[in-house]
Amino acid sequence: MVEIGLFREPKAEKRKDGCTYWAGNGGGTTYKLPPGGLDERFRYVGYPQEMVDRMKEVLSADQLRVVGDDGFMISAASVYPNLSFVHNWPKVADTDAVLPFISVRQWQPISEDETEVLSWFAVDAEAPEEFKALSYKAYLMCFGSTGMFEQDDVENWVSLTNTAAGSMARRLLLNSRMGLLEDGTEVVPALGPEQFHGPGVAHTGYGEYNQRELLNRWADDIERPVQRASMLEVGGSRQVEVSQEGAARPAVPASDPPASDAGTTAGAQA
Amino acid sequence: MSTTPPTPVSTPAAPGVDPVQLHSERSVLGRTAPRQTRVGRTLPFSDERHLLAHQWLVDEAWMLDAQAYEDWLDLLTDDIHYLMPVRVTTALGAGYDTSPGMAHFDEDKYSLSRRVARFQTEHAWTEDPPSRLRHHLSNVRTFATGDRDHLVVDSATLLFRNRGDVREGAFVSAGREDLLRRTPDGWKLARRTIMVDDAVIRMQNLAIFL
Repeated sequence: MVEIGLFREPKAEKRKDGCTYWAGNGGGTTYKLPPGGLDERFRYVGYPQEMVDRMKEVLSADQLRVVGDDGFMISAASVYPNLSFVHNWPKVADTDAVLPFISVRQWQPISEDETEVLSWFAVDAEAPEEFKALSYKAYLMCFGSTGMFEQDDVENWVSLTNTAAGSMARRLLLNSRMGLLEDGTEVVPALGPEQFHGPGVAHTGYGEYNQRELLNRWADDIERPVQRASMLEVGGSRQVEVSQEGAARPAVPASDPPASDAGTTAGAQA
Repeated sequence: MSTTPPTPVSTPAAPGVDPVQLHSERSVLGRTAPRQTRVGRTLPFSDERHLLAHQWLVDEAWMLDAQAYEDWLDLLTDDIHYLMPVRVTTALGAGYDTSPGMAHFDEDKYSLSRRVARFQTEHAWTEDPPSRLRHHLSNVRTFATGDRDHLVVDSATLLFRNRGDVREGAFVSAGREDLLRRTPDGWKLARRTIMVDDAVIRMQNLAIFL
């Protein structure tokens, strides 16, 4: 995407210098910003000064320090188990100016090898109209059904899914340590509190720290016995306990969706 | 007898509907799009202007099948608005059947040129190996506009796309309303509104043009 001038940053350097962070219920990635103050850095990714001024009123002191002091800009982030956010700043015209956009996305499991992606574009309601239109353009160019980023990402995910179902994948064991050395220590040490003012534990560079955390949590949730769900009797006045297995569900209409799987149960408890 | 005004359904050229007002003009990035609209009834199929428009569309369909995208870009005017609204399912009489403020494509020449440039990179996995594409074109109707240098053309397109050997191919069906403009370099596309017939796209992605 850098090749065709969609992104300003040469190569993937800025992402490599960025950090990933995991904060228990989710985590994300950041880009490293060039030197400068808080205002300068928000403007660098395309926010007009009037939006920066509002951010300074709305964001917490620590959130502002992530950008202003630590020099990291939040990029993609996920909330366990299947809600994600994207924040990026492509070029939307033949100039050097970049425009940030935000996408909210949900990964909805359909079957063991199908996922439906719901993708929304989100923009500050108080942003200038010009900014809203160009941010929307940035989103359309990068994400969603026609997004140039997403198209190629999805293609890789389909290939991964197909490969994982193949005979080689069934025969071979993969030792994927995901950021851990042989002795169980991490490949790079976590950033200190003065290097990263955001939530959770952060590491600089490419890494699968977040993925390891997410899979660990998912494995824990899968192992946990299924809990009984409480259900509301529609049209009635009392709360009834109904078996998760669906053996007795007198108050539930026939069209009710099947009992939630472990993933969503865990999500409700999170 | 009903006293309510006709529902602005999205089908291009439905009675009482002006697709330009309804979509291109209302879209987020269509404010500066060319505004010429159809005047009068369908031109006779023997009319020279219809023959010209029909051939233009068939030639374009061939170009898209061949994925000759650089040549295709040359067929677009610099002020083109290329729009594919998101269709939504609404009750009869709801008054709309596209998602306000959202589109699959809402493009100008620059963003279309970036999409074409992307196909030339080595990371365009969606088209490596390339799809086998066939744009089936039909229901071509041509209309005059207020001036001699513009024609409005309605058409239907059915795109079949297949990749690899394993998965089944996918279809996208759509109606289109095009504005063709006479230029010193021949007729070019100045506006296209694509009304896709899916509310949820069944194709893996839209790394194609309609």
